[in-house]
Amino acid sequence: MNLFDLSDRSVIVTGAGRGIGRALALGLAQAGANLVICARSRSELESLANQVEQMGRKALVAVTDIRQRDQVDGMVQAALAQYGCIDILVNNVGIALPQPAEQITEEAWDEVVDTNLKGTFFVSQAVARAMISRRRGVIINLASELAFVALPGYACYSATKAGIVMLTRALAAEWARYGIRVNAVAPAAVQTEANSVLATEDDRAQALARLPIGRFGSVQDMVGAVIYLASDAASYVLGETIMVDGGRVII
Amino acid sequence: MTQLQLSSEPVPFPVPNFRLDGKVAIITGASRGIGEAIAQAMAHSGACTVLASRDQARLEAVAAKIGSISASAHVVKADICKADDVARLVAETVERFGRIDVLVNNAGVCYMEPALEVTPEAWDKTFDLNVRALFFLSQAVARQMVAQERGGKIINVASQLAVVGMARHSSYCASKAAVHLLTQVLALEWGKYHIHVNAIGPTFIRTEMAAPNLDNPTVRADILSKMPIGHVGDPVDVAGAAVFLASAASEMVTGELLLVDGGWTAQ
Repeated sequence: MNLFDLSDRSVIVTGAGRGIGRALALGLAQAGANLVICARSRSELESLANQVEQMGRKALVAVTDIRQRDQVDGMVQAALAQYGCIDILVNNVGIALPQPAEQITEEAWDEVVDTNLKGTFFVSQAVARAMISRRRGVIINLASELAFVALPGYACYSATKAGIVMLTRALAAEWARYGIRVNAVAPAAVQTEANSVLATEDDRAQALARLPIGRFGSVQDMVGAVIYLASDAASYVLGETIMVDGGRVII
Repeated sequence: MTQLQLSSEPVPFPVPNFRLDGKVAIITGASRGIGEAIAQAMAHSGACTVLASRDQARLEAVAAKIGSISASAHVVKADICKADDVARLVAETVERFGRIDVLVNNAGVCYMEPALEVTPEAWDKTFDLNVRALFFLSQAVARQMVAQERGGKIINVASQLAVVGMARHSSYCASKAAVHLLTQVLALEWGKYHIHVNAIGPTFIRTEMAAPNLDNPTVRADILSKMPIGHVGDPVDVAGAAVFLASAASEMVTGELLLVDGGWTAQ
């Protein structure tokens, strides 16, 4: 009995090209899943697909801008054509574009909201339509510590991530009747190439002082919580946001 | 700007490890219900389990079931409200297995009464077990974990009633809210020793303790109407969360209350 086994589950991971999304894709594949990996850049996806295939799992490369509804629909159709169903969706894609609130332009605001919040919702909707007919599915959203605590420069990002936390609860309550579980994982600042929160020594020292666990998380640290939520071990967990933050938000 | 590089080259990828092979886990209230399910799941995952409660006969029965899984189970009859019993539970565990890696504070009590009728005796019994005993057992185990210098995991079984209210549960809700904040403070204080402290917040689960609620048709209908998932959960549904929080797969999770509530608190 392995409660956390994902053998032969089909999983879509958005934003899979790098960082947390890439780690999640590799971790889910190691737990037994076959993947649909989405991002805007083909080259990163193809190197990831190679890694996944070396593990003996399948990886369908789906170059997708999740802000484009027709591309999302095409990605979902391709996933269904490849695997016959979608068991798990990981809404990982997100951008931050940090800048002082007084300087945020309407264009930047829209880009962040369209990607993080609107994109997550409409990918979820498109995938849920396929899950509803099977009365089964799991959706996992990537929130953030910044859904709960403020950081100068991240007003828009924080608002979208707080939105993700509530969207998670709303969709969980609404789609429970279809056997779909919706949950989220909220990382603290993680060392990735895209992470501007930890750009300087000062940034890192300040951030570390606020981590009771005494170290930064790595992208790999997010994998366990996502596999747990994706698996049958969490079959009674709905609408929950698991903090994977080293205790950041309890201070 | 300094770039913190994450290589996108193929590298050996560390597998999240949900196994508990060789870990020594104390589970209180292990004679029935959620505690029994957690003990069994941890044994299935490879842990050596120490089963504690006041009911020796039922502990022996749980240990026998675990014995058939082939992992070690050690029974300690203990009333964890008593300091001597707490000390003996810790000492016996260390004597038998050499160390403690995991503590599951599962023992708890619930007196259902309207707030107008709660007696000081019932209030004190609730807090003595749910909060005071939980704290001092955690302290005793944490002292052992600090001395071991290899960290540890403490898992408090709180409740969804730590974050949402329910009529006729005043002392219970207050005690579980206390456990929630205690979880956060202990996580904060003991992070430097690599001791992770987390909580699980179950909703009503099909156990003997919940039977008075679930057997009452009116209360049962009310409970079900508040559960988006549409059915009452089983103890094993809580056990998965406990194994996750006890394992290396949750190394960046501390101070967290993981709700296992079928969506109750989401709406």
